[in-house]
Amino acid sequence: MSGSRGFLLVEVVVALLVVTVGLLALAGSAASIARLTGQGRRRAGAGIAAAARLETLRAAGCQALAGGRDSSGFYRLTWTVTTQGTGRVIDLAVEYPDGRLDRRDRFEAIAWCP
Amino acid sequence: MVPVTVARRPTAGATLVELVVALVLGGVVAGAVGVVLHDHQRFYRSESQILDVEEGLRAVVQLLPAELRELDARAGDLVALGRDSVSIRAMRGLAVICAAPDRASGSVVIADSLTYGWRGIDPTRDRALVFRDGDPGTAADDRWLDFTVTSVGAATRCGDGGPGTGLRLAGPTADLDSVAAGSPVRTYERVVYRLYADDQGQSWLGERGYGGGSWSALSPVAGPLRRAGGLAFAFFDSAGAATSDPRAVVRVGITARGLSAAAIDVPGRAASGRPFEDSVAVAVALRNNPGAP
Repeated sequence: MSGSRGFLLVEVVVALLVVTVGLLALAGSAASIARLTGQGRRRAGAGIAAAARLETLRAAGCQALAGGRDSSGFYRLTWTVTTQGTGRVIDLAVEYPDGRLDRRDRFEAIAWCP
Repeated sequence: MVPVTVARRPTAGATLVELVVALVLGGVVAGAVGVVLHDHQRFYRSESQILDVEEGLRAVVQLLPAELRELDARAGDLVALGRDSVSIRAMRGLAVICAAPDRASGSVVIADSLTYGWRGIDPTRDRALVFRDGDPGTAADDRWLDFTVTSVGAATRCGDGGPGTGLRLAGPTADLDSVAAGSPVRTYERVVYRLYADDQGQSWLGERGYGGGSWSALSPVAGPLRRAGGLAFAFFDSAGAATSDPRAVVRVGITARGLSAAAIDVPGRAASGRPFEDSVAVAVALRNNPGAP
């Protein structure tokens, strides 16, 4: 750069490249926000599906507690019941598609048999 | 002193060609920025619609189970069952009688130190269930007496001298004969939850209460929900079969379907151009049914 010769075409192009990178990052943030809110929705949904199943098991009565499987929307639920003294331990797994992979969340609850 | 003439070098700015190229490229970038910002605005507006629906649905599945869980269906806490509504005696407080009741006036005193609730007792809305032990040697004659709370009196003293509050009750006051100090009192109000359609074309979980001799207007508490089938209740008995008998209910299923107020508009996304819809289904086991685990 000799003296004050204004800017060169190369400089303009470099500046534009920098702006473009910034724009791409901005566009990418929207995609990740959409992905994260979707992920949050699915995970909260898994918790709600698990809670609904545990309430249903509880309502059926302690003596009727037994393992089993069920599905609710795209949530697949499987649960086992083990006896520990006067308590029953319910081990509940919820599987659901989460992005490219399936995710598996586990929940544990205890019911007392009077 | 010899004057020196300095020849000024011509300072060349941008040439016209460079300026034109720069302006064109700048214009292209400004256009791209505009498109990205516009898309973003659309995206965030849509995303907030989606979050509103999710938030409303989660509020419904928090609120209704919290109200229903502590009910005792066999004692009549579920008053009426509907496909999109439920009428309940919603528990609002717990207290303990701390002096022998006065049957003639229907006056009882509750201990301030043992009074719990998420608000004070409101005679315009609340009724009181007083536990009557009857013969202390048997549980067969135990029952809850249902009273209207006529007034909540000024501070007074319990039988043991501790601070208490006087309640004036109307109802089966003659049965207060074997209600002694130590008997529990539960206060409740009559509440209906049902789907509420506003005049803007949106639907919500609506609540109304009974007080002062009449039902209040239905007011929205959570949503937005779908107008058709936005809120559905299902009631099940101990065998897991659907029931319409309020006293046989051991489990309540609640399905809420949310619908956004405006269409979402995210290019390339499924269901773009239509309102966002989602649903949740929860179940509640009534905890205070006799024999409930």
